[in-house]
Amino acid sequence: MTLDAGSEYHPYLQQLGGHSVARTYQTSVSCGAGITQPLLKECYRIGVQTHNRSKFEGFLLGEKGNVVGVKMRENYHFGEDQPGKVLNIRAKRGVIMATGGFAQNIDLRMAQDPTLTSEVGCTNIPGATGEGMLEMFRLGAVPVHLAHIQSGPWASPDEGGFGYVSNYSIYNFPHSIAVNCLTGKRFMNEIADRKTRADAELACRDAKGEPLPPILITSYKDSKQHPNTAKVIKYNVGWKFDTLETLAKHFDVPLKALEAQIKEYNGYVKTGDDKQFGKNMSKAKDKYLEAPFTVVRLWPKVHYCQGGVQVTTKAEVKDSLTGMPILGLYAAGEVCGGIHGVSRLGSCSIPECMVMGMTAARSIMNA
Amino acid sequence: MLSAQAVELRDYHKAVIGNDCKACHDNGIKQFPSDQACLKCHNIEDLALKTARNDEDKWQNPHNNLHYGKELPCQECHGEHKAKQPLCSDCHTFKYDKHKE
Repeated sequence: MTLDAGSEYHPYLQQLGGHSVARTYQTSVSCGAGITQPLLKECYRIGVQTHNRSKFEGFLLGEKGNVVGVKMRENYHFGEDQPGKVLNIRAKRGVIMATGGFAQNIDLRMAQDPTLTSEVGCTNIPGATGEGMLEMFRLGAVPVHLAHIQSGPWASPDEGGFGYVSNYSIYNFPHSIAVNCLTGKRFMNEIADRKTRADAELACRDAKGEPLPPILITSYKDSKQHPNTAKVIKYNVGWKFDTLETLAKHFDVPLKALEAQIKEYNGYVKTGDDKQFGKNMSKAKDKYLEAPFTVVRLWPKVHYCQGGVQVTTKAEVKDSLTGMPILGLYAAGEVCGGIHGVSRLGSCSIPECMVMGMTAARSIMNA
Repeated sequence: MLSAQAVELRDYHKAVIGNDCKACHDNGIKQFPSDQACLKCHNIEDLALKTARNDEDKWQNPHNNLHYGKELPCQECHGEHKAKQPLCSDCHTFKYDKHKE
């Protein structure tokens, strides 16, 4: 579908965390725009009408409690006072909810996972606040896995959203050390699961208990293999240091402790056995930490909400009281729960959006 | 009565529009203008050419960018009565020195 619409992909497969084989295609521009822009143009070509500045305000129900339409506020500007008129839109076949996750709704995510305070950043656009999901709960949709919210331990406090550091860090974690700036010491297995690492990063505090983002230290000889290294340096969200002394001074890290830590870690590189945190050292083999270094700061960002409404294999939204589909209501994408269980594997969300998006469309046309 | 802030104009528009509120406010004075209002005077193709960047950075063009192409509504980055930052700054640290807030 995306190829037909004009998407282009790298001519090789990548193996993301948790996968047993390489199976991930990435767009040639290395981001979602390589898919969304071609699909949008294809929509225009086939006559699909899109409406910007429209905010979903709720459902319209028929006599049997079935969904027969939606209320939409027009001329909507996110975060502004809105006098725009609310329109009642009739839907003759049904409504497909594809409204995404709720990572930007701080109150809601904290209700599910109290560690996800406003201190934790977010990779999502501001509109990922979950009202579409909440309105479906009003209708009786079954909530699934809402507390399972994924944070990216690879993110940077120095840029918004996903930025450039995220992919840089993902590439470099296996052969780098993450260091607490207060102590000059490592504080985690750099390739542990996302939740473990995100919590460990959040625990890095200064003497007053304020957040003190840790740093990821990598040998330049290893980091320069990745295209984002030049980018993080260019846009001042990553730094290159010729000596450990200048690095320690820049981030106010105790130098002696840091020197001792790097020496200790290089011992683990040599032996293949991390006695500090049990890191699997196979990917760090022969990659000793040595100057010059590249460094980024780390701070977790909420990335994906596994939870959402329960759907059938036909993308029908299920009612919690009857266990039957809510007539006229379909959903696809991150607004659904249960698809990824308690932890989404990288590269599994886009296929889900495609498969269940198409499934919802087919179901609605057969309704 | 409109607030004092609501009648702040950017210098260029002060010069060519003056007090003609309806020049932009096609949804009535108490609402944001539609996204078509800007395009009555400004042409997106011309703007995309004017703000084009070199090949390495070509998708950083604010008027023809990687994520939204030429589709991004003007008011996402430009505000008349209230200063706005480029939408790109939500995630990137690109420089947009000529951006008029």
